[in-house]
Amino acid sequence: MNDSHIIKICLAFVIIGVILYFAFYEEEFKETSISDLLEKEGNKGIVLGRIEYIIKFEPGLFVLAGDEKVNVFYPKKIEVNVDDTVIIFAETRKYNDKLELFAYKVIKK
Amino acid sequence: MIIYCIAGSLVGIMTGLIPGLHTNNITITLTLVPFIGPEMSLFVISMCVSQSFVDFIPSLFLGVPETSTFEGVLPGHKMALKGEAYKAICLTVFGGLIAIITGLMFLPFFIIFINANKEVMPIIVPVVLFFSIGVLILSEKKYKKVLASFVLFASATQGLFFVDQIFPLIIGYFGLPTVIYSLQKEKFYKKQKKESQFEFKMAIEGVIGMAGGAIVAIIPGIGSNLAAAIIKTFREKIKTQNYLTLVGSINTSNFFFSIPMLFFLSKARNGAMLFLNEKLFLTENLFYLSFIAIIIAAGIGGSATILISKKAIKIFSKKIINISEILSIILMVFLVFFFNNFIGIIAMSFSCALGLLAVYWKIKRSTCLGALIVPVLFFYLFVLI
Repeated sequence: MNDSHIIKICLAFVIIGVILYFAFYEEEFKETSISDLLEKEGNKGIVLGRIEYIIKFEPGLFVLAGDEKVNVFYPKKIEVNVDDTVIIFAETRKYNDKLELFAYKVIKK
Repeated sequence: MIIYCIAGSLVGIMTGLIPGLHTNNITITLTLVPFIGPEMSLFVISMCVSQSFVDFIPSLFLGVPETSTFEGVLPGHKMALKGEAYKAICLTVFGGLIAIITGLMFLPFFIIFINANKEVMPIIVPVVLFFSIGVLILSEKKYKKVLASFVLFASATQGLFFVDQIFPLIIGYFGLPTVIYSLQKEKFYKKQKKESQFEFKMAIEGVIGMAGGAIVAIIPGIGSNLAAAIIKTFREKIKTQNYLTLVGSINTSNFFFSIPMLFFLSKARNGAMLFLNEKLFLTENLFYLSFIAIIIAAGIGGSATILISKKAIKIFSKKIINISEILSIILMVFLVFFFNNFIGIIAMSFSCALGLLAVYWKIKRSTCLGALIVPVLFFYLFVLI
């Protein structure tokens, strides 16, 4: 083995990685509305809304108002207030037979 | 998203070339970047992987000490003293690549293992940490055991006293002492050879390193350096070449396995994972994509490391090394002040004094990791009690 062999292995890594990327990559989060997101369990997307009511700060549980109102659960502490406009990376999940949003990230706009 | 992956790899190459900067420190700077979506997770992962390859360049090319003192500094310098710095770099890259290949094969078993044993982790962790402390002290020869015990006790005290000052402490133990010590000493700069021939059976060290890195990822407080020191203790006759392959592998594997630790157990084992956990997120899709990002970043980082070192052996001279060392000291002090303020400077001064003491006494600098191990040990003991 020598340096040129290692460079060839590295090149193979890049090529294999790029092929795997194009074979398996699909955009996970697209901008959408709350109503579209709530159509089916497991839907993922980016939604914009206003915080209408905060039930708990840590873990975060609040009501988000957009084209519809929905409960949002965020497993970490939220640093937002009522009436703040937020962008949420979310997934629709079922809780107590009701669809709500599980937030991966809450960003204050 | 692939652009973020490539950009992360390129940034990792640049940060890897700055002496004393660790992935843990670099991700702190990313906290200043506003959140820009899940792409940033792949950027961070790619950056850390490519940096895990490149950061061997400054540690090997800068601060090569004189022949009689290399034991107290870094093992790679032994090869630099023989004019084999380029070969040493090739071996660390080879180790890192083997860690990725075998790590991908081992990944499903690792996931099953951590999920099956998450309840017993609080018991395993303190046992392993006690064992590591024992190894750190007992692996030293004769009277050095007493000196190592002192360094361990002092670093543990610093770790307990300077809460939330990990960055200055690490800079003080590992970043500054090497450079300061090297600046004082007459440089032994030998013309470096371009030769890089080595045997493929060195891959075995890469596999051992991958397993070591996986264990390090499970146990908090133990870094790649300590894992390498423990493996070295059990394999006393390990050759420098094999050791470098091992270290290269542990370094990459440690980061590789910290991703499933975060995703499945929500345990952040390094600064990058902490950043990912707090500022970004990992979905199932992103978790799998992150391994594709690792493959691409390893390819980019590995080849860049080889190509840069090939150039470095031509241009490096005593003068350039001295200038780089002074610049790296200024940069490290600036970063500590920037992120941790005056308290950081105080913590760094104390830890640097201890780090220098370890270098002058020629004992393993991993002993300074007492600053991380002992607070974690106390935490787990309190949890158990």
